[in-house]
Amino acid sequence: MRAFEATIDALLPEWPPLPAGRRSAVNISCSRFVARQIALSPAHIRFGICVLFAAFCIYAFVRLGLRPLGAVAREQRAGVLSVFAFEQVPPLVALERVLRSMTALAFFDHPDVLALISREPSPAGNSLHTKAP
Amino acid sequence: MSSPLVIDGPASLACDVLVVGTGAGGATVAASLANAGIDVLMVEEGPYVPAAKVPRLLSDALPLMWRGGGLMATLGAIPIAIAEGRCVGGGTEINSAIFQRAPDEVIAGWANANHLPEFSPQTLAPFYDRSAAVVNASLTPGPPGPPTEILRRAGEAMGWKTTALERGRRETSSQQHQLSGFATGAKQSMSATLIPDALGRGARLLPRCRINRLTIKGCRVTGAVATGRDAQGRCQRITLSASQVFLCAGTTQTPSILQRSGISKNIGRSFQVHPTIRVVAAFPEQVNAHRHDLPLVAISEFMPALRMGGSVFTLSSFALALAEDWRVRGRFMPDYAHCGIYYVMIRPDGVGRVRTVPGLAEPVLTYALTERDCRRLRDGLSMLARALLAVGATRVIPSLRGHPGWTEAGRVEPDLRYGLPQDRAALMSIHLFGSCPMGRDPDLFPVDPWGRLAGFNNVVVADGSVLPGAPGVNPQATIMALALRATDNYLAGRG
Repeated sequence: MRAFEATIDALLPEWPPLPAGRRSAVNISCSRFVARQIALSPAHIRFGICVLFAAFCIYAFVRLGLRPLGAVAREQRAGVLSVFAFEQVPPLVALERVLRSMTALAFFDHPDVLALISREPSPAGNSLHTKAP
Repeated sequence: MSSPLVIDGPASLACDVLVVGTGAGGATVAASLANAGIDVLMVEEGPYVPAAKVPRLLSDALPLMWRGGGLMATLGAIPIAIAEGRCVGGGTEINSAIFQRAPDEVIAGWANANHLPEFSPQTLAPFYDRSAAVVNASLTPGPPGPPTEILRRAGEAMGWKTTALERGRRETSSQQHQLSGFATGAKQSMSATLIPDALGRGARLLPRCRINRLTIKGCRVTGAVATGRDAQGRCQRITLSASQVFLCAGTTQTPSILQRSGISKNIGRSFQVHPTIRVVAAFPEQVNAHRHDLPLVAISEFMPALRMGGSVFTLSSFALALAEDWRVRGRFMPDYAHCGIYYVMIRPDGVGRVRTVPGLAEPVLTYALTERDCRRLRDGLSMLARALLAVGATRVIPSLRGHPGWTEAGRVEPDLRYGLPQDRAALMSIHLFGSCPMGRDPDLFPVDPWGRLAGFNNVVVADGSVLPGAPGVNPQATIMALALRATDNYLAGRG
């Protein structure tokens, strides 16, 4: 798995849970969408995203013990991304937000995901009504 | 009605009037001129998307119809995500078709500040009326959905004035719904109204044609050099010649075209947006916002300084709102049926710039909020959150990174006691304007009160860029009204 696809895979929402056989297809579809959106963005924004993503890849490579992103488990990738964005440096946060936003958008527009959600029972809505964590 | 033009190689096209852009301004100009029997050529950078082919998913619409695939932002201390249409019909194809006139006090303020003659609520009213008739601006019949009722009750609970919103819409028998929530063919965007009107009266339309620069001879623009796409998607050079040019390419592109053409005096220096901050509100009962129209009322008590409204809600747009801080909010996604998205939009003092950088296709946009703007956003956010909690919201999550949301009204003000946390606020805007404002003094303003470009005798600017400032409401109605005014003035001068 290439670094970009591995990153998008780490950003895929956990809900609704996808059947194991479909997750890979949804990831490919979402990765293509995010890559296309970045390619369509203005050059100065695209440049910023590419530089920051390269920085993230180097950071992840070092943090993962000189292993490429695609070679580790999803949880590890998500953890590295989380720590990277948690540095509270605005550009790093912005990179995670852009990738996360576009991934979430593609995910929840994906026909497999929409079909899964339409089959789910009506959500109970409990998590929003509990006290703030 | 003629079909949009398709080129098959390098092309030269001549016309009497060249209209650059087909949004609310360009379509209005083109239809009026074609109606007067003038030979009009419309060029549009984006594609032509017929109503029946408008995508029903945001992920399909973004790459096709939005500038920059929807990944646009102003640079500054607080970056603001912005949206612009890039297709035949421009922003009217991607907005919610809400039709609102600029408040009287705003119009009077513009006239006073920019010394605009014959510019008052009374003199603009006929232009607004004509624009409203074009799009059939009207209230949506039938019972309002829960998202609308929630906002109305929120306003009433706080004793604030609410206003029902008119939209450009028509009845249709279609059962299919587009992304904007309209049934196919119901939304009265420019591609459904004035573009076919102009084409029916002999105007020509060339989509997928980007203006590189205007060709200038003395104090006249003689045409433009453009890059078009042929049927196979290959780039082709297009030479356009015209005796009159109407620049209606939109708030970011009109100044960019002028700057690329070597015209830069006062261009792009007063770019404005309506900074907007969203909240996600959750309720114990099902709201099912994804099955209903966006809220068709606005809390107008504090207009024009700020306005509260609601957003289109789809699963993916809800996910976008949560993705601003997914680690804190992602767990709320399964509760989509209980949620609505609302916002506060302010009329700002801050200004920005549109700068064309050699080698970059898109201009660089900068924008700076003033301290008063931040106070207004903070006050509006506080008021909106408390209003939603007053009508039963169990949690109101602001677009502030790391914020878990308010569950009690009493927590809102203490939380915001130090003002808007600028480093954590995620702002957005879908209203852009004012990059080439109209004014009487040619030393201060790039276009005169009728949109004529200073220093040239055959160029008129007629789009959001000529607005003298922020209208405080959706700018489409004002753009159309000012475009009609500019066109009438041109036709009167033409005799």
